Amino acid sequence: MCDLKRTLDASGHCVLEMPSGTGKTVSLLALIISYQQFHPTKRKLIYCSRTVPEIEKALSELKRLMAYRIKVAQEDGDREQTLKEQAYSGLGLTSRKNLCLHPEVSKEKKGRVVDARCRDMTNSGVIERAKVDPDHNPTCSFHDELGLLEPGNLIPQGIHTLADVIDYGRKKGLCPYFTVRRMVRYIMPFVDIIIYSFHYLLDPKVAEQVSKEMSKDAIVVFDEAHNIDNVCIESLSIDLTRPMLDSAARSVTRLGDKIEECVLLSIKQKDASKLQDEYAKLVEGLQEAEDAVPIEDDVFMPNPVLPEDLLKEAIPGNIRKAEHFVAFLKRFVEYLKTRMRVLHVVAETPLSFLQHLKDITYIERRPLRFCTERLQSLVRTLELNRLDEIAALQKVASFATLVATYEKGFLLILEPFETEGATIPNPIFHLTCLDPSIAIRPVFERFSSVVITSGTISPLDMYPKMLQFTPVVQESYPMTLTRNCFLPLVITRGSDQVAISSRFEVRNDPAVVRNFGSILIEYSKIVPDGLVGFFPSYLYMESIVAAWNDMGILNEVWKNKLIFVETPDANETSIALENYRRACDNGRGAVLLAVARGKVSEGIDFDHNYGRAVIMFGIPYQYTESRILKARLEYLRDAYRIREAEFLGFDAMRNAAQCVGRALRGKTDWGLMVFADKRFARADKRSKLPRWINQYITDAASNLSTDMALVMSKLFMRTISQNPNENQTGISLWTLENVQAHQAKMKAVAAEATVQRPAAAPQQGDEMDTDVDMDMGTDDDDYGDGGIPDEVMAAADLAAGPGTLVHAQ
Amino acid sequence: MNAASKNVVICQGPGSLKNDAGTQTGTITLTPKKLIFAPSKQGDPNITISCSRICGLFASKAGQSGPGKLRVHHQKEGQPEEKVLLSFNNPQDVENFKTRLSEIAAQNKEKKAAQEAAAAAPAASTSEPQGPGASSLRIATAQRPPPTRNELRKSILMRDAELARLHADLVMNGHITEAEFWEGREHLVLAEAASESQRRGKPSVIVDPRPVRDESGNAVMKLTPAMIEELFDEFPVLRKAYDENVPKPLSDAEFWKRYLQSKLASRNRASARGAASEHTVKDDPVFDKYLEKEDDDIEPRRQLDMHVPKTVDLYATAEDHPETGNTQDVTMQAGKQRQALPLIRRFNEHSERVLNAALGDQEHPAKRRRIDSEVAGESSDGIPLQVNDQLRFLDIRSSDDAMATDGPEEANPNALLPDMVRSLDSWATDMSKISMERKSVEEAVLKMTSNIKSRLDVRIRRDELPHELLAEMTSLQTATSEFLRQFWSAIEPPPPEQGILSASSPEQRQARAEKMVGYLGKTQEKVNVIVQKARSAGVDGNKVIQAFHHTLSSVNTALQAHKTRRS
Repeated sequence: MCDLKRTLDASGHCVLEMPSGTGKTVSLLALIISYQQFHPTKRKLIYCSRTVPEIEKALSELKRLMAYRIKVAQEDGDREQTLKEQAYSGLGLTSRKNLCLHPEVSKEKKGRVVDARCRDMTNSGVIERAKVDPDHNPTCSFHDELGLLEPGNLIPQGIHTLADVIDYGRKKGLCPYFTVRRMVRYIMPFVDIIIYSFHYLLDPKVAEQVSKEMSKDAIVVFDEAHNIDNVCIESLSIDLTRPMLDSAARSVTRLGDKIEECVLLSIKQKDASKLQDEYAKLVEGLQEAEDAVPIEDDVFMPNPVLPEDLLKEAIPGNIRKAEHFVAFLKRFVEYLKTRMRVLHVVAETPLSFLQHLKDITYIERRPLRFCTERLQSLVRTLELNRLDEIAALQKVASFATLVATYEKGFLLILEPFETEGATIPNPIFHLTCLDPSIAIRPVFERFSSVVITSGTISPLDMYPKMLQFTPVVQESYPMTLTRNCFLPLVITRGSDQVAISSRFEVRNDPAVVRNFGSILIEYSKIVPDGLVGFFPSYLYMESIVAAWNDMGILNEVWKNKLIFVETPDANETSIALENYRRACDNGRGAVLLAVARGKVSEGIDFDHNYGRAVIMFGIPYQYTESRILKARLEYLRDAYRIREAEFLGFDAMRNAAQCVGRALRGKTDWGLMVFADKRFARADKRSKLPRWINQYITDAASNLSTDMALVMSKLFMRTISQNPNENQTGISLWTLENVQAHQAKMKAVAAEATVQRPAAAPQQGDEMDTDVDMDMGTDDDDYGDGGIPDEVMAAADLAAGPGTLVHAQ
Repeated sequence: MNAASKNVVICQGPGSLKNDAGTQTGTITLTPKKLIFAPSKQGDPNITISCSRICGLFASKAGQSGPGKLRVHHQKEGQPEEKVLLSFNNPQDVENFKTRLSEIAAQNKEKKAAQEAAAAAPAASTSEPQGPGASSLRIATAQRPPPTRNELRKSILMRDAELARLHADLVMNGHITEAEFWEGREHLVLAEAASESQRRGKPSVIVDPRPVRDESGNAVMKLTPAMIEELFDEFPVLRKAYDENVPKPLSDAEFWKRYLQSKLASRNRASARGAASEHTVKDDPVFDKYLEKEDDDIEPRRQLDMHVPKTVDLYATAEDHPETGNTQDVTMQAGKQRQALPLIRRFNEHSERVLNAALGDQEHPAKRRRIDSEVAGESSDGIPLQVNDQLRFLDIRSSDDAMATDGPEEANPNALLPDMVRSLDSWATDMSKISMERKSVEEAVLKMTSNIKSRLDVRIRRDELPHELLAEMTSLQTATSEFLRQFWSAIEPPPPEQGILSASSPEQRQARAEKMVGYLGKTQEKVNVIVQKARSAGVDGNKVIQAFHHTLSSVNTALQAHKTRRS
């Protein structure tokens, strides 16, 4: 808490690791909101989370926190404060697909189609035309309704979860998506907190549209940020395949036709065509063209390049004319297609790619860089509908822009075959970003305080190194528990003493498969309700599920529990998950098999009965034969001095920890964490686990066979399932007296320190002064890092039940 | 003349009947309403089976030597199936009975199936026309009316022999009333009601007929009717095939034989190898029609329309931001193992089906129970568990409750524990420095051995008591404790939460207490009688007196208490 406050005061960045399920989200929110409410400047909070479920959870926690604050303010009889609290508003933002209410559009399966159809009905051109000819220009009533309202008054003050906004929209006939977008854009002064996913800030394509208006002094929190480097890299990487290029070529032809049509039309009507207007504008310069865009609803196609890398100059002459540009695109696509015909792997830097491109097609770097801009402008001019149909072309344009903009930190890899053994070519042209710091740099530069936090972010120094920033504070907090509510066990061998491992050489060994299977069988017998098993990869899970079935292992499991398995389809998996939860609620009990780094491992909680035990089958290493990974490792070694093995181990362990951490979501919760691989027994692996897990792995539990682990598990379950003394104070939940006592102690220590090191005194004094008058909740912990204010504790307790709050000792 | 002859007799013949009780010879008669067996031995009661209860018929093979035999299965509503074996002296009779009875059995099956189908109608797809042989095996998903209190009590007594004996001793003999007996045992009834109200779900194991080798080394697959039913549920297309092909052009047996050898079966097998070995399977013109495309695309073939709450909605996340980044490496691309996908889908669907069989189709997720009390203060009833060793469990709980009501200071084990741990931590004694006085050690050991010896003596001596005497003593003992229990529960105010079940007024309770005092007053006499008996049997009467010492003293306490209450 006070570390966080120090960061905010110092306007710096910090990395915090807080054990999962300890009320991380709510304590962060509680402090920052108090901070916001106290300081008249009202810094905004941008809260980023990974997944929609997590966003929704954060919103509902926030909602209850604010309800509590309002209640307290009312009880205090402080009217001014009450009004202030009531005026505090927060919203969550997600894609059109998730928010759409339009009867037809919302039925579309693909988000991209929803986006395109929505744009077709809501862009300003259509709306203008609809005024004249409503029959042929359908618009969306939900969006139209919004236009009638005064921006800034679209939705009442307060906190709204995504579900709330949708309900409100349905009731009032308003479009939820644009409600949120406009609230955020026009009246950011009135929205105090916005919660959305990482991509909205990191992916330049989205950030350009969404996050441009955010003020510079906003506080940015990246929650569940253990994978933030991957998000950064993803947002700047692009893949091209042959079908994509074919589709792009078709789109280019269509564009050409459309232009011709347009030219003919203008000849017939004998007035200046739209294209000529556009040309004139482009001659004047790009910026003016940008300014011509009136409302954000019209943004068609964002630029993949980061803002500061955008060239502030006019589009080069040779692609200003629409016909020229189309010919240019055609040539580029043809060039890429030719490259795809190569039957051996090629890896090259952007510079060498550009050189080759120039040699063959005379395409220069500069026009290539403006590819996206130019396409965007053309599409707008032609008033094209159904943008989803030219998605491939957009991708090619983004590819061109990226490859021409960045020299360092990127690599182009052409893989003609999908796997080593494949004979039919299925070429993929990867443009891969190797340096996560490129995407996040603008965030660090723009916003003064960035908080990166997660339950599993060990080792802490890895993140500043990879993301190239200097944190003011980096800290890992241990967990104080009234009872040891989780039991990590490392199973290294089966009951027959055969070592188990997901190492590539042995993973398909029948003895290993059987031993993994018997772990599942035995645990399905003794664990009540839900049991989750994670595998290192989809490939392994799918093959092992088939093997287990043929070995009759799953038949044994069926006798005890139902079985659900993660599938490639997200929707299907959601349904399996929902059914899994039903089975757990019902008492029938179920096993869920999923993949670490997969869809389920991100953002789905297996709290309480939904996950009494999590088994990690093997260590979730990445596929080291992957060329992209190899390139990335090389880059990390050369640029940041991070050794390959170190990074791989770190990456595997953060994912393993993330998986098992899903089971523990609060102080009344309990669960078993089983690491089934002999390599987990090694100290170098375990040291990469977060401290809060590692400190509970006893020596006895670090090298077990299946039968021994079962005995320990049974014992653990017998003791833990007793009635918890939930609101016990003094250990992890502190009363005001505890906090004051602790402070007194810390003060005494500080006084001593002051005597010894007089230099340190002024700074501490300052800190104290700033804190004295802070409003409820945050005024009492500055020295050391012990106390969490009682009110906040109570709020946390009310909010999520995860009262086992963190405090460093 | 037989009583049954007054009614219309469909057929009749001499034979014998064998049931659980034994074999009897006599006359077997079938009337439109009943199957009657009249034993030839005079005085034995007729055995009648109502025709509406007959649910199955099995006949011995025709042409076998010896008397023809029929096995009749009959079942009362909500009770386990029973069976009788009928043997006929006259082969002619066998055929007659067989045709008639099989008609009746088939009718009954249809009726039952119709009832169940009506009840299970909301479960949609399963209520399509069913093949014969399948209907009787439907899992009853119909909600039965909740059992009455008497039924519950009965089933408790059926399961607990000891309680049943006590019940027989006291209630049947009119010492105490039924209501009195059950007062204070409400938890048993509640638990029974809870377990009754729980619907039994389907077994979750996936049906997967696998060949087994018989003695001659041939691979044999066995299909039971239950398995067939499961197969029908699992693969609607198979039911369709059955409906369309049986009895024409294929007979039932032929159908299954060909199915098991067909591509359809190998594809339906819960095995990833099934698909791999498909090319080795012969083509089958009948079944290949029903082959569908393998469900191994990334997107499932099945229409998905279940409502999923936002907190588990993975799809929303996938749609939350534009697709970016490089494709995953080979190992992380889901669905690469094509042959595993249909299998995985089958697992998910099967689990869902089992779940729906127990819970009904999806209930609204908002109604579901949440443990982590997202809304504080809103508690739910939870799911009553069926715990085998109830008494122990209840004891623990009540002692926990007692602790909770005590002052938190003294009785909170969690608070005490750290203290104890602390005191143990500081506890350090050097064992080598301990020296004991010889005399005291010897004394202690002596005491211990004598204690053990006396206990052993007691155990040896106890065996001397004759069996009948012991039984009598036990019965007196249990009866007296029951009287005591009744007495104290009549005197004590009733526990609040059981008020509904024990709705006895203070007057009634007073009367009951009086009655119990009457019984208890006689305890001394009864003990004396037993002592007399013991003496006459040559056993030391003191033992009996000793054995009853504690019982008598508690009886006396009770009587004393009664006296003081009255005065």
